[in-house]
Amino acid sequence: MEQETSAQRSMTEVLADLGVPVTAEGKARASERLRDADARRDHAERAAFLAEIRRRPATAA
Amino acid sequence: MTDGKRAVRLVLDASAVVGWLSGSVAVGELIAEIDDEFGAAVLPLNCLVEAAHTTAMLQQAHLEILIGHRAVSVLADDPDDWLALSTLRGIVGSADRASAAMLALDAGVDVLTRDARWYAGVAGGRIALEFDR
Repeated sequence: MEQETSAQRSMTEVLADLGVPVTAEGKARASERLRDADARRDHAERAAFLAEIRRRPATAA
Repeated sequence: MTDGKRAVRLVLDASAVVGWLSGSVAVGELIAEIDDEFGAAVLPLNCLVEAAHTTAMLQQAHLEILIGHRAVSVLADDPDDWLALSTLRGIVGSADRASAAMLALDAGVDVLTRDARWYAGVAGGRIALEFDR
């Protein structure tokens, strides 16, 4: 029987093996944090910042 | 290492990697949730090197588990970005955090970090997701 490598197993299972308990509640909390981060992200501001640092000299930082 | 079809959801900086190695539940929950959603966490090569240095390579086996996982992808900087990275280095205070910030800006996601203040000068200070446990 072929054994699953850690790369193929879920991160939840891998962490459990390492002694880090990840629960469904914890993942729901993480999901909410990711959604909140998505919602507050200002892509236009980021694009403008990226364009600015790509054209200005490093000494202007 | 991801299979290439996963959407990038988060960039891990060196402090997040050290958090993962130290058993941070908050970091573990986020990466586990990203894995469940068939997403990916990007680990800049510079941050991997810094985390390995910080932990004196004492947890090499755990680092290899992290970087070998399907939900984690290690990425190097684009050489064409050297000037912007140099500017970012001046803002965030280290080359590894500059790489994390650049990848987050490029991918349109946040940097998972122990201290969001490091990124306060980047794009209005709203690119960091802080963990505290």
